[in-house]
Amino acid sequence: MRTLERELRELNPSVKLLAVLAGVLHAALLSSAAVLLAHLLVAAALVALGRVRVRRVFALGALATLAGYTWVNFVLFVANLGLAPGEALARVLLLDARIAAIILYSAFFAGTTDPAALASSLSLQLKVPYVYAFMSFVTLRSAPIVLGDLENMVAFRRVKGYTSWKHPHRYLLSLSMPLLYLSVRRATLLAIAMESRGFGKLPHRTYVRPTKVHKRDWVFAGLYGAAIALATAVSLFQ
Amino acid sequence: MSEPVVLVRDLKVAYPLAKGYALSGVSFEARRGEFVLVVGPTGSGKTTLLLTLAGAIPSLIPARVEGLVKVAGRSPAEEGLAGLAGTVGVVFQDPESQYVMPTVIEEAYFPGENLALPPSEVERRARRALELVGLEEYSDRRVETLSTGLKQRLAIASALVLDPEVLLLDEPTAHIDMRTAREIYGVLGELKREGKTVVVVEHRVELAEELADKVVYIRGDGTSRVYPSIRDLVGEVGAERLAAEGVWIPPEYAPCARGSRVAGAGGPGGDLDVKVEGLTVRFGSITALSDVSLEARRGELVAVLGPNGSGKTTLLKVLAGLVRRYSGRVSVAGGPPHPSKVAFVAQVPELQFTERTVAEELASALRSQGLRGGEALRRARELLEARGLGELSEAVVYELSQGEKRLVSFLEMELLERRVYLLDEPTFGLDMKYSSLVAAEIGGLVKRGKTVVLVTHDSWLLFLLNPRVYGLSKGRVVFEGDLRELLARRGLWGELGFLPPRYALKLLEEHGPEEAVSEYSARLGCLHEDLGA
Repeated sequence: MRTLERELRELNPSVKLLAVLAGVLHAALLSSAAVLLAHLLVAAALVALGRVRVRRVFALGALATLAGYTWVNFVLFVANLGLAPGEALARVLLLDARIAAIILYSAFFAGTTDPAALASSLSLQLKVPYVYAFMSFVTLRSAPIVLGDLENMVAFRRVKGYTSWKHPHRYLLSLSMPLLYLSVRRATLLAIAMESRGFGKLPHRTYVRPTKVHKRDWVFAGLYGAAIALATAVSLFQ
Repeated sequence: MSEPVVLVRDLKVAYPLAKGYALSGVSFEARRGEFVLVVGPTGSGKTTLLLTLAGAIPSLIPARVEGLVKVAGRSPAEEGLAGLAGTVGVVFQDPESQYVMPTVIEEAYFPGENLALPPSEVERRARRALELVGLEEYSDRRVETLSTGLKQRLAIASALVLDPEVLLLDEPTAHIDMRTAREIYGVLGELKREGKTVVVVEHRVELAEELADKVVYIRGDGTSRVYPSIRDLVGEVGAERLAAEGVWIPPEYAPCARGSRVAGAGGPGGDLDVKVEGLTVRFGSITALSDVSLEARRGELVAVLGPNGSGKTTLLKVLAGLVRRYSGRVSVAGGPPHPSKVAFVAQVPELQFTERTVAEELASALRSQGLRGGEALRRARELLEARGLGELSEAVVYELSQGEKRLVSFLEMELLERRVYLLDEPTFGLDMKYSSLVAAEIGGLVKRGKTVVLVTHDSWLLFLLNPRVYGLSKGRVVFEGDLRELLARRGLWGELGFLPPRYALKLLEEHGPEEAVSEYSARLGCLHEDLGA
């Protein structure tokens, strides 16, 4: 299991990204039960084998969204389209499978990909200009810092007794202004730090540890493609 | 004599929409291997000077630049920040905002890779830079797991990879304990000896004073004068005036040894307001606090010392009821900790702000006490007038200087009228004037019978406020006592990241702890009393 986890985490990020994007697109376009079930199983297996750690708050958020989505669609199918509850439920479950597969694919990609390797790979394998590739990586790196600021701001508002539930927009505004201010200040400092270290000075750069496409990437792409193709074939014969 | 590596003649910088010049005729030069210390009050344009030398102004930050600026024979205004990469290295005060890559070695590779150097050369330079700052054993560590001091060393290493002729540092030790700060200045001394030209803005003047070949003093109006040393600067301008402008003058330059401490706050106090027994806090596999016990009585000032990452902020968060997963017993104001029982002054004042103007910000604290909108606003304005800060009343909180922001956050918490006050590094990054005002506020709280738990890296503050001290190391309490006992237990200083101010250390070595405390406190008190503290 540990070996599989390591292999999944060491996959070339561009290969992984392309595979996951193809899977998401495939699941979005085809609504056959066999295809969606296959995507759900494959995505769940990837998350499990990659031992992806999902923060409880995100898992709960995803589950709550899915539950709300299920309920709203069920009611719409029954009340607006006049479907029988059983048929409505079957359709809703298919939609759920699609959403769940997309969430799981995203979790697998985000949880098993090193952002720095992704930036290198986008630049080396997909020929994205390195400035843009690194910008996306730096943005991703800033996310936990912004989240930490937000947690601290909520905590200090609790100390101050600043809740303002009667005017929730004021509470949200009180969070957004300092968050924006701090983010812009950090972004400016980071931009200065990066440029002063030569970032963007030349149109190209070197890599001490370049990402490459290895045999395991071909094996992964082949197996994944075969699983999706098999599911598509089954759906066509149904 | 060699040509100057840094040449600045009559430099004027004006930001768009600003009323006047941020810098208004700064001139100085620095030759190879020279160390230039830039001092001046908050808002005098010290950071603007560094950003102009680096080429960040006007290439990244729009501003009008007049006068002559040459760095290694090149024009920063024409070549820009990226153009000067490799010639100039820049290090800021906050290491969190400077690193890009996930691991130490990758961060050290980053500049060389950007300049498309061959991988073997990138590797060689990165290893050498890490070795120079003493980080070679950390090369495979993830950057976020390093302490603040180590991150700042990494920022210096990253700036050194390109072998710049000039190193520009903006308060590089503001976030760091005194001992680590001295180590970083040790590294800068090495670089100076290697022939690097170093220009550093530093509030903690005593750290840089010994290395400085010249001192550029930028006045409040943006003009400047160059002095051979801090002693010459003090001799001409006067310690009182420099202190009043916010320049951190080492207390040995104080003209008198009268004065008294601001608080004298280490007294026995009344009932127990804070009681912690066997407190242990874990975040996943990391133990932040382990079996910590601490007490603070009503009207008592307790200082918590310790190196970066020793668990000081976590302790404050437990006392504030913001961290609730712990084992052990914690009592605050007679019951379990809760945010409504304490006032908490944050390290980053912006995190506290909820409103637009200063008066509205203070009024929001009064409103949470039950006052109505108009009345709260009127009281807030009165309070600002009473503190001599009336002109800030309608200022936008985000446009204040860092010192003013800290004062506003402090006043806001004072208005909450809680029994227990938790202060997280209330003086870090502040100039002398605002540090004195904050110290006076702390003293005022204690005099009014509030219980204050103070986390600080600033060892001078201990001499000024005379608190009871707890020393944390790796999440454990390794010292409890007063300042004299701490001075007497030199073997613990390293573990606590503690180092007395230079003059106090000299007094300690020559006359012992009693004399060190009384003489240093008196001189410090003298300087701070002149500032109204």
